[in-house]
Amino acid sequence: MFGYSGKILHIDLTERKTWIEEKPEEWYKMWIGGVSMATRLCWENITPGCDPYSPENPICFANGIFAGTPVPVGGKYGLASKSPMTGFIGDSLSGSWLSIALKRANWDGVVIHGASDAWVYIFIDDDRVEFRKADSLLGLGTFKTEEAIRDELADDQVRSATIGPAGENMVRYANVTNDGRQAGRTGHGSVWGSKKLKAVSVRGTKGIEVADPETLNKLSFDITKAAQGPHTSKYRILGTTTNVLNMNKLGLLPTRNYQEGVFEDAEKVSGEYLHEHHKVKTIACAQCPIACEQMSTVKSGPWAGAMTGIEYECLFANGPNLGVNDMNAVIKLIEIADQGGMDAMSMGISISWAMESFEKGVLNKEDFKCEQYPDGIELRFGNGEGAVAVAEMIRDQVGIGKLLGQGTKVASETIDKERGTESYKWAMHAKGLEPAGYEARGLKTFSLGSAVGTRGPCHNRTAAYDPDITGQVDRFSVDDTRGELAKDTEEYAAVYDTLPLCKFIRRCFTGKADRAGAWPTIVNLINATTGWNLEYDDIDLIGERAHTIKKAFNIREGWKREDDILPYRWMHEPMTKGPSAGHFTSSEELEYMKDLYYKAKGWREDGMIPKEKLESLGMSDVAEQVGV
Amino acid sequence: MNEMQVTIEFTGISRALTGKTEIAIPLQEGAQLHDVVKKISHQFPALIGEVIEQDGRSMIPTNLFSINGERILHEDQLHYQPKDGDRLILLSLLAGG
Repeated sequence: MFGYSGKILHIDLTERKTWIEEKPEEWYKMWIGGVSMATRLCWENITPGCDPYSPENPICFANGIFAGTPVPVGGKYGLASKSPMTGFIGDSLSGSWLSIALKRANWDGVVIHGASDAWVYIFIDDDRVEFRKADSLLGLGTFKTEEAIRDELADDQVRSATIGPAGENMVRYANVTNDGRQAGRTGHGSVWGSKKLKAVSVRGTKGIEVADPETLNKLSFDITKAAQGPHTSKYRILGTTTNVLNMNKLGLLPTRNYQEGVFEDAEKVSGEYLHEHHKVKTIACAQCPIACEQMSTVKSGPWAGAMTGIEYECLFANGPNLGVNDMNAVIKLIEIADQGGMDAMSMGISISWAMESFEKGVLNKEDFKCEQYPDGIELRFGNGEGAVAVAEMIRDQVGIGKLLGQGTKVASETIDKERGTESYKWAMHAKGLEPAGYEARGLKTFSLGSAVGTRGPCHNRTAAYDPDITGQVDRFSVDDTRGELAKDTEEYAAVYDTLPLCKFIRRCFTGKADRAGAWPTIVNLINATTGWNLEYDDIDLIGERAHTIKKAFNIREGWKREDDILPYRWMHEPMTKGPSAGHFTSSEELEYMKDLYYKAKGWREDGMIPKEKLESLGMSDVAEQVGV
Repeated sequence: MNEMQVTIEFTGISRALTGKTEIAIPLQEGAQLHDVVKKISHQFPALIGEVIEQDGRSMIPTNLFSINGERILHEDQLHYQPKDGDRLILLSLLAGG
């Protein structure tokens, strides 16, 4: 087999043993890699219905098909477990060196079972696996953990995925970090924490065989060249942070816990401001010619020296969404999340829920008391200093940090039960996951894509904002095209998440990002890597299967139609300011669009998948378990 | 034919390349967005090849105009005729990763 080793490494933390599973080539043609293969591994290895924090919930790595090859932006891997945020599939992607090390160790996937009784990290040294004591790593931040492991193993080529103190402390939205990048969403870090697993380190020294190196090199060279042209300039110069002003101009910038879509101080926390006042350098993932990450620092004041990479999603969540207009505080907040090992989006939105709860009298100053803040904190919108203090309390699981570290769903349910309040009305989550930085009330197709998302409302798993934002449809109204659009855009995204390729490359094949513009090149890349003879339509199947296995996983875990929902605010409160004023997605609109979407998917009205549909995708074993 | 005025707002890469947050430009009544693109490409040649196509009158995909933050026009809708006082926001949209 070319491009793959044909081997999955299984590691049992409970028994401290390992075994190798060999998979046939047909299995790889079905699941490819990334989130699709990771979810499939999870499907095969989990005990259905298990507690996400139980030993029965496996950690599943699946490498990318192009990791370690010359294909630009192909150095990514998928990570999946049952999510403690949603109770459904938790699938994430991360980029950079770890995926290459894993490929060079010749493992297509790694499944970690069980739970350890003492803190460990796993060292995969090509074919050899070691369980190493992690006591000396406890309390270290994510980046420092990577450094400490390299020091301990005396090899600066060892690559590690790590958790920080937040994962050790079981912050529900803790994440996993490698090489400065994160498998950021759905709470992987707390699953690792539940297993007392501090890190997975890899040293890979073997070669990678591809079927047609000459063709692969030629294609990769052409794409790399295009990736340094106008289709990616905006990523290189300002990165995704440029979206702060874009979204603000369209009335779509989540502001003060999504109360509005316009932030009066957007310029002060914009990508443009960051570029001028805080940017240190632009950095790239391994195997990437674009380099989009804006490494930024605080130059003066109480947080001087704070430094981390800034992306739009963490910027909106900890800036406008908190009403904070001080970029120094925003950088510090994101640094706490990145080094502590927390999803900066869920952290920011949990804090914004607390701010609104404070302003509405549901929480009070006393609630924020702890040893360090004996007088409590006035956690109003705009209080950057207070937000930094609360972020540290979350990371360290101190005081109210214990509540806010559970995410907005659990936090609001706990407080409402305890105090008879209705804070669920401003708890911004769906399925338990906090949403992306696009005000879906002004993007009707995206509101459908967010509601039906298998891992919760996510901008990376659906591209349904695209027809809204590019003017393909009227973003403020609903019509009978939205079901097809939501299906097409999520399956399009699933192709990139399965290979995986960073979506920023999507215009660099021919200039057009649609299927006709991208699929022919992607087919050639896969065939040159593997020696297969896939065709254009097979790429569509890759996306459809990837999405379907995630949905099937959710159904097996108890998913019902009513789980496809939006945060209460998005369904009940019209926005009052800016170009999107007056808009929200009513229950009637959402249910109508869900009908259209399930029909477009070939599913039943209740969202269940017919057996014949699963069989037509080659998923007969899945049909036996969840088909109707 | 009457003359009118529109405002072009720059964000992101277009702001970085022009060094401006916004400019006002005069237009003849009935002028299209194509004419707007032509004018700004003359005034700011750095936009050509990065935001505006080499022809100087059409947009490189994902660089879009929003009319007053409400309606968004994609690259095939540059025949749109702006009205006096319109704010034309030049957006470079990014998503994914």
